[in-house]
Amino acid sequence: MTAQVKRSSLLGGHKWLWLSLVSLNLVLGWAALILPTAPGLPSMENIQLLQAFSEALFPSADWRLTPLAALEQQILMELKLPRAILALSVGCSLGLVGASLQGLLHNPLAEPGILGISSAGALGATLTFYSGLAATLPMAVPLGGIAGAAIATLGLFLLAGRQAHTATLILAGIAINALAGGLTSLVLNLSPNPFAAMEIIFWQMGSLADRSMSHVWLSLPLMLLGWVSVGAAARSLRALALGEFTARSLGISMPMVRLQIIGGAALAVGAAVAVTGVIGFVGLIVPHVLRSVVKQDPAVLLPASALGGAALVTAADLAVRLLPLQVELKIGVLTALIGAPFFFYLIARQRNTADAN
Amino acid sequence: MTSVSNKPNQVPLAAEGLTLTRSGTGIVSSFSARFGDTRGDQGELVAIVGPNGSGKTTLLQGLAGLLSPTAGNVKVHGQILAELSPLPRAKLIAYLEQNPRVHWRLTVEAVIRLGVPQEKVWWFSEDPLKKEFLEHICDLTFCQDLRHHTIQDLSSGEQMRAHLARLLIANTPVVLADEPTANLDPFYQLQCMQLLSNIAAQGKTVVVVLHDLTLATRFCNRMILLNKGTIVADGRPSEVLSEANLRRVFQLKASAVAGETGLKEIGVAPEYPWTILND
Repeated sequence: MTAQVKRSSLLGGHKWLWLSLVSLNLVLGWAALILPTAPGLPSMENIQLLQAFSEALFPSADWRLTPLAALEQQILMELKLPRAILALSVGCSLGLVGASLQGLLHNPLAEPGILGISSAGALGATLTFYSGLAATLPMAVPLGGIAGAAIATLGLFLLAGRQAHTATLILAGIAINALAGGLTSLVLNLSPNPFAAMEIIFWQMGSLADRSMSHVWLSLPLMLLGWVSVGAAARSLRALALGEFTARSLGISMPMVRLQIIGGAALAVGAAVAVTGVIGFVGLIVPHVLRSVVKQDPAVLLPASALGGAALVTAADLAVRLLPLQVELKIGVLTALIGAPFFFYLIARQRNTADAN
Repeated sequence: MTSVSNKPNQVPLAAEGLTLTRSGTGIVSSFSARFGDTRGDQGELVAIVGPNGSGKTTLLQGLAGLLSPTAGNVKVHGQILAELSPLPRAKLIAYLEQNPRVHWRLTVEAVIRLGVPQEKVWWFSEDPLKKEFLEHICDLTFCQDLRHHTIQDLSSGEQMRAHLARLLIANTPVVLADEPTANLDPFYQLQCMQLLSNIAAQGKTVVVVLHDLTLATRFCNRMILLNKGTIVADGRPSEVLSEANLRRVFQLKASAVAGETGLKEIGVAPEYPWTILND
């Protein structure tokens, strides 16, 4: 009897994609630990990194092959490691949430910022700069960001109601976006001196520099929860390809799907924005590129976009670190500069295929 | 292949005083009807007909459990539909909406596979669909050649075949379809109705909303005529489509002759001013 059952799980049939995306992330993650944090500094040896990992895993064993200097050890564990973990997890969050929102809204142009949670998170962080909390408390900025994102999510659900239509949620998101944007401008307007304003503006451009393991411990659990919540909606997203009515007739509970995706998006994106600022275009471009690779399957697109987003943000952060400029480029600026032209290209290609039909 | 598990002495689908409203306006009021056979070995193909705005689509959505009734209830094998959670409901009733759409460029096979109610939500669970049943449904709906085509690239008739396969793959005892023959050429209309008629003959309860009275008369042994949300007639098509009903409900002057599969001498009833404008 079991022999007749075709064994195919949700992820089946894309072995090469998973293999290449996972290895790409491994290579980029390894590079993020080995390559220097700023141009001109020396790289670490591969063997040194192996040594450091071994020591961390088995501290009692004798690993004295290539001793790592105390300073290098410190740079690795306190600068590069949190930065690499955050690049991977923030990218993962943005890609995953982008893909899930595109599936929920049947719209290839949806992106994580559409719900207003990112801008509210940015507002929360901005307020900590303005109030001076950021200067006194080291974790004030991400905590402010998380508070902002949480309030926005609450507002989103209150505004749209429990039995909300998806369109109502988008409208609520637009309203929250507008309000948070206006309040952020107000804070900038009222900021006591240009330096405070500069600090806010730079933070909002998005950066992974100088983040510590505390940032990781603060944001990673929230992001993980968000990933689980969004991931649980995968099969529902697939049924939603047939529209909400038919999806409901197939046993999908729409309030549940909306809660899973929007709640998960709020957790993952809110936590991501709180620690890194706004990194645009990743959640839009990554699902767009990978959609045809996964044969447009909205469920398989979720893990694919998560891995793709992680790779893209890690690569962008490496580029930001290694570009020989006077001032370190902000990662959000780089993703926008690469993402926008690429988006033009996608639109042009889509237009051409539309003309051909 | 799981067989249709009809519980004995329970009507597959029954509506009692079903009242449905949309944004406060009553669309269907106290609709009562029983569909299917209590013995469970015989199916039934029922057509719901009526003019535009008579509440056919709303009624079908109510029967599918997609609209909560403001009064009355729908029972499936004796269970009240509103008390069932979405998944058990999906295993009892398959529903095809009017003008079905697919939002992403999926293949026909991917669309058909969506029709199976998914028990497990998590990632590495097995696909409950048996390969033989997929083949069977593809044969039945003439989808074998279409399986690997992107559904948007196909003609309306081919797309409808894929949607019918999606509808039937759930293998539910009750099948509801809202105007499955709309936009189809005569050949595919006949093919579609023949298919629904065949599955009804296999013991399923099939309720179809139809605009084409000729098709309905030809394939359905029972017809429910709806006007302004209430039942005007329920019975054999030749009785339902009486000259009086056609004139009153459809504003038509025509007659259905018993034993014939269509309307005779169809024309607009003279007492309606619409004809004056047209002349």
